[in-house]
Amino acid sequence: MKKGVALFLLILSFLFLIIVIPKGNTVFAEDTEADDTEENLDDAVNDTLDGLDLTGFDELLTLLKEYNDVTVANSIRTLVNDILAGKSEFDFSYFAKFCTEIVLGETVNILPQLLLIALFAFLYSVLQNLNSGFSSSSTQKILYLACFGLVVTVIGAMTAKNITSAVKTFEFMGKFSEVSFPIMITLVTALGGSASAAVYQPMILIFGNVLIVLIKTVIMPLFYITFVFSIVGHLSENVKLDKFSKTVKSAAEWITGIAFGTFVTLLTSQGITGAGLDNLAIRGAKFALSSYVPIIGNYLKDGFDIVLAGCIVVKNALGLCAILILLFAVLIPLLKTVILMLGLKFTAAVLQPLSDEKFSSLLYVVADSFKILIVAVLCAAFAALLIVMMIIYTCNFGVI
Amino acid sequence: MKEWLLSVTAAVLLSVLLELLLSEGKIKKYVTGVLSLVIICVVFLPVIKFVKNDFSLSDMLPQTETNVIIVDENALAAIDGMKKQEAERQVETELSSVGIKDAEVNIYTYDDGETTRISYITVNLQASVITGYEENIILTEKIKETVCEILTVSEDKVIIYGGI
Repeated sequence: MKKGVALFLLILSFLFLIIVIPKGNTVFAEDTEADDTEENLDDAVNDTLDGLDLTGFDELLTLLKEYNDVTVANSIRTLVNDILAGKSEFDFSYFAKFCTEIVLGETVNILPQLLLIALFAFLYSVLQNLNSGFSSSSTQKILYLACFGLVVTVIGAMTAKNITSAVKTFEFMGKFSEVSFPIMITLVTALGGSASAAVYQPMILIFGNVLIVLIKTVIMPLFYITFVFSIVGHLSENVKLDKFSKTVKSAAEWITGIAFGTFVTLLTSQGITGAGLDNLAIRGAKFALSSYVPIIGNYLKDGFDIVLAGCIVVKNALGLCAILILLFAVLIPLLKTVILMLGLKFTAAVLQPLSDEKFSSLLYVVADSFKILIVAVLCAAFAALLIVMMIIYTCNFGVI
Repeated sequence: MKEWLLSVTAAVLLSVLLELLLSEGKIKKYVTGVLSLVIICVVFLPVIKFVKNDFSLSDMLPQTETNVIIVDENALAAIDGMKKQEAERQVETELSSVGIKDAEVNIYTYDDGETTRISYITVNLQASVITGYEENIILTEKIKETVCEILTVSEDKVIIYGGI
């Protein structure tokens, strides 16, 4: 009996020890392999950046500061490092705030001039009503010409800055195309994207040498014609040039639409094909049993290619920098022109019941002519952004 | 372009001025009609020049230089150099893992006009230390097998020297 109790107590204490004694902690060895890979990747990224000539990008940043008074970064290297470190402040809320500031600032800027225009038009209306019974038609015409002259002077002062800004934007896009695309094509070539590089090269040349030149030599003159004829056509009732002005405006819009529509269609179709060919070539080479690797500059059959990864990181970071630079270059003149156009149209709407129909029509038609500029800037910016984004999309091996 | 726009503006201003100066009557109607024709002629002056072959499209368009996009060859060479160094490092690491430490690997390439190809690879064993179970045995076949597997080259392109 006593032996049985003792045995029972022994088993019980044994079970108690097994349950109560805590399990030992599991010890893990420190994972240094991931740290080494990250460090090697950082070195590869820095070495790749050191090998590239980024002075063109720095010139673009300087031009951006000069044209639009905006500082994106002190140098392109700083911007790239900030993007890679995740310290970039350029997110959606930043751009929303930036656009709001531009819109409000420009509205406050043009408000006094719009009020002045409204004042002159209203003054004409008042004087015309006061003198209608006493003065001859010649006097009224002279009065009209005087008020018209004042209004056109104010319109000229308002619009000159916007037109100059638009011209500078197109020049900037030409320079942007010369600077950024060769570097990105270099990186695509280094990654083995020879088919993509062969596809993008002619499209980039078309963008820089045909589309931008088309805007400067055809679209801008058509805009000037529309703008001048809109004003001159309201000088006299006997000289009517509004249909001519509308025809020229329509021609400008059609030319812009057809040129950029064709370009974008060709770019997207050829870009997808080229990128697909490169991806197939890379996958094919991985399983090839030939005695050499038929890819430009890449030798390893397997394994994580740090240099390749570094090139991809640099390509995408530079692409993002290019997008940021382009956005800042385009947004400011675009928003200012849109505000000017809407401001003039609003003033025309307000003046319609208050003043002579000619002033209201003048403001409306002049504002409408700015659509050519806005469409041209938007199309050029969209085409450039599309090229950059397609290059970013190309040759992203292993990126999910 | 600028001259043409100025001439149209001047023609319209002249028309307005004459309208103001002339008194109402039959003459004014005819003068107004003639001035409208003058304005139309001035507006279509470039077309008239084109018809007379005085108009040249090449004069309007700027002379553009159609260049091929020049890739940065120095950057390409630098990146290719980095890739070569990485490949050499990976081969050395792999050789180290199979028991051949401190082997010096060099890859030599040539450009056939379309792509860069490996011409031969040298493995220098002078500074290397053979570790593992098979000490003091030069593992030539093992080295060639490892190099060929990583770089997908044939064995005849692998040159081993400096063995103990």
